[in-house]
Amino acid sequence: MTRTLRAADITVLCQLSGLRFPAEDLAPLAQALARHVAFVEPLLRVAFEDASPSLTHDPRWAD
Amino acid sequence: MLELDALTISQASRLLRERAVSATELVEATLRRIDETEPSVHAYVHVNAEQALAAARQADAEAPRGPLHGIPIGIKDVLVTRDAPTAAGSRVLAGFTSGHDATVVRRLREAGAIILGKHVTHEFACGQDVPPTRNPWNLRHYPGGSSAGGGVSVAVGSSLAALGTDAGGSVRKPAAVTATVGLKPTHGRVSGWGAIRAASAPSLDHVGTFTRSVEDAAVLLQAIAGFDPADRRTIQEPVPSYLADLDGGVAGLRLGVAPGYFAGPALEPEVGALVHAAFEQLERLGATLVPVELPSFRFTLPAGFTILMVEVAQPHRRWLAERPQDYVEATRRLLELGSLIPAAHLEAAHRARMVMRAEVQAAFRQARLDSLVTPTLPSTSMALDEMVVERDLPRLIPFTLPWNLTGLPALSVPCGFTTAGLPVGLQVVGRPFGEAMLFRISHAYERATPWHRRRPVLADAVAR
Repeated sequence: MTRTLRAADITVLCQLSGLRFPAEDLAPLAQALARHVAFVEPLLRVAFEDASPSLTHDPRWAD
Repeated sequence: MLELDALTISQASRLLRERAVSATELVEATLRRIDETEPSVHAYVHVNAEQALAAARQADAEAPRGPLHGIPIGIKDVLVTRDAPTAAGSRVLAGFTSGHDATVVRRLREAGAIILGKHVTHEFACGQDVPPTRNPWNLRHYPGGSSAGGGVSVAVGSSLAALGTDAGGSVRKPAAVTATVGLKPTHGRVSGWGAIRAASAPSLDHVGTFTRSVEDAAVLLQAIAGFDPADRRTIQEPVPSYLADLDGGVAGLRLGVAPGYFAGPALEPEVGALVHAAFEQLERLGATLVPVELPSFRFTLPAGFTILMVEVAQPHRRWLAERPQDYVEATRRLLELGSLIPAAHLEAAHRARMVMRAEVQAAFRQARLDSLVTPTLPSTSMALDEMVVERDLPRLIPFTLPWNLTGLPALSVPCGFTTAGLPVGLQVVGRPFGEAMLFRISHAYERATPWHRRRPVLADAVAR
């Protein structure tokens, strides 16, 4: 599901995160973030409860 | 007259050892080749001619240190070098000189290599802008990225090898589209200390190599591999001899093939035909192809892009606020987006990454695989004037990005040319720290095929 995001939403997110972006970037960023949310949606729908998030980047396999 | 566009490190090293050529002559010839090719391909952002010649004269005065002694090599403009600026392709870092060598650069110098200069990169290695570099197989076409200059330079002979960085395919992609050999080693095999942090996603990034042969890739990795106390990502695993088993062949080896290639995009028909011909060649050489299922790899793009964007954006907070005009607009927007990605997305991406790691480990074990083989890219290099970065970049990396997420070593070797004369790459993927097996398989394939010997002719590339 694509969410509707507006430039004002990005302004709030920036305030919460302590970020400062050019005003002309806010509207395109709202669209880009909405697209990203839709892109990641399948990942959020999958139950990965058995998997811990990766905390190490050591690629070796446990024997 | 040295034919630099055909010379491998191993051949040049032999000539140097036999005193048939001096390091100074080799570097002078390479500098001439840079002068000849740069107006067409724009692979370099900085050439260190005087320092390279001084280093070559010193190399000529010394006893040979090994196979890289006197060999001219180029470095991606995100790896710091003590004697040249490192701008990561951005106005944000214009004029920055570190005063230090990245660990890999220091190791190359210690091995006797001559550092020629810096190769062009996309801004902060993000792949969002169009750098001036052009593909020597057709100058209208994408040269691959983000290590754009490295592949092109090695292809045209304006360096004998190059170092790049690869967080999603940034070495293997340009290698595939320039008919060079591109290696992304295991995560932790090669130090990333001295890679510009603002151009790096630390958990996905790897320093990799461009060469004209698999043997050269083994020689180069031998020089740069190993633990580095300055980079906590490096792992204290012994570094084997990468040449010892190079001629071992593939007879009896089991190579996994994932039907549908992780639910990625369909292959361009000519790419599919060439890659399947490569699989058949490996079978004729005695390997067994084994189908494997990797269902969680369908999450490669959402998981990979999420982690990549968050990690690369983090160091840019202050610059984005204070100097937004110094970025290419598309790069700035990507970094801004990366700064806004919710923690829940990142957590889900890291969970998917763990599932992918476990799944590929199980596939190797259950199917008793020695390697996986895939296309490097689903398509050939596209025409730059038809390319839409936001649309096309994600289409290019579904076969390369999984190995950044899992940390497994992966190598792209040329496997043919389309009817339009554009190169195609075969990717060989190994177990953790299994680079020697990658070299063995791809060397056997390379010896049985002519593709790596074909070199671009710039006059033809202009005419097409």
